[in-house]
Amino acid sequence: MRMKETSIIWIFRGFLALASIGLLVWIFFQNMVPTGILVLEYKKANPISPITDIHPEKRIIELDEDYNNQRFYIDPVYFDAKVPREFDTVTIKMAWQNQSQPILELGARKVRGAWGFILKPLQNKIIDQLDWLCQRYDGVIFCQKEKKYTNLSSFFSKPEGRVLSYNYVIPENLEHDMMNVNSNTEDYDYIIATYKSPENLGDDWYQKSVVYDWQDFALYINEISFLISAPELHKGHGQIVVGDIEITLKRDPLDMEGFWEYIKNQLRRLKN
Amino acid sequence: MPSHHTMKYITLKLNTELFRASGILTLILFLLETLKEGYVSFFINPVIILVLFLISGIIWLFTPDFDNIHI
Repeated sequence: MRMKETSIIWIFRGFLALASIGLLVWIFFQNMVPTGILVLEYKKANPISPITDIHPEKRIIELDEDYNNQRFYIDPVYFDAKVPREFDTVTIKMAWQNQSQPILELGARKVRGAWGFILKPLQNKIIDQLDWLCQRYDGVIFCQKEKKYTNLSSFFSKPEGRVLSYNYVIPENLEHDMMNVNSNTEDYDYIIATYKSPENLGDDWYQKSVVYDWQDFALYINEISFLISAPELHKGHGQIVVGDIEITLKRDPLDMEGFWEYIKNQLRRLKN
Repeated sequence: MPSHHTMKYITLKLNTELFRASGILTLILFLLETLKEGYVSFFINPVIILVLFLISGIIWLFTPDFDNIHI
């Protein structure tokens, strides 16, 4: 074999070796998420989608008109997201179409092997459609059927009347009911809730971002899990169409300390 | 100008290089994926490298004088 031919083979061999090492190093760094931000986007029925389709299948309806959307008619439904490592916060941005379901919530799976979810509101039509006088304080809503108190603090200093709460921890000594899909606001004088209305996109489509702490999730291998709750959906509240789902995972950008911590964690994980 | 025989020999030799490299890479990628699910598949599909390994292997196997093309 001539010198030139040998050189070609050695160059190709070197190229393959470098490309292989480069690929392995790239995968290693991608798993560390050096920028500290990772955005996951849902792709319907795609095996490489980092966010799974909603399940179980028995609660889903497939209609041609839905294209890349998913439709369910019995609650709850679940979906999972693949994550390469630990983060600090998880922000889920979701779009959905809801015609008549009063309460729609998103849950983060906190416990594996049992029903343990941290629920946060996506949409509460009971509050959205309320025509009472409402005051808002950094996510907290205080609504009065007839104005009697100047603010929430004055209410708590001398509470009177029937109180309905939603996603808000009210002192135990104050008698109140928790809101559910069957709650009738006419039976109450005050509503206290931690809630922010979703963005209305028109044609009964809505969009909202919900933020969770990483500690709200039970990481299973490389997956975190979610639930979409629409209580009593099958009792004449129609169907929910889930559109785009985007999950933004955030942590501090990688530094040398974080790099070594990652290596240690991976080795500890292999040991276990 | 290289002869037809020489060109064929170099191509087949390059294929064996590809076969060897993709074989080793496939093993490493699937080992990493076994140790931690999603470690590789989260970013690339390791089956792509496996397919490359199989195709280059088939080419090597069906080369008429493959005895002379050492891996």
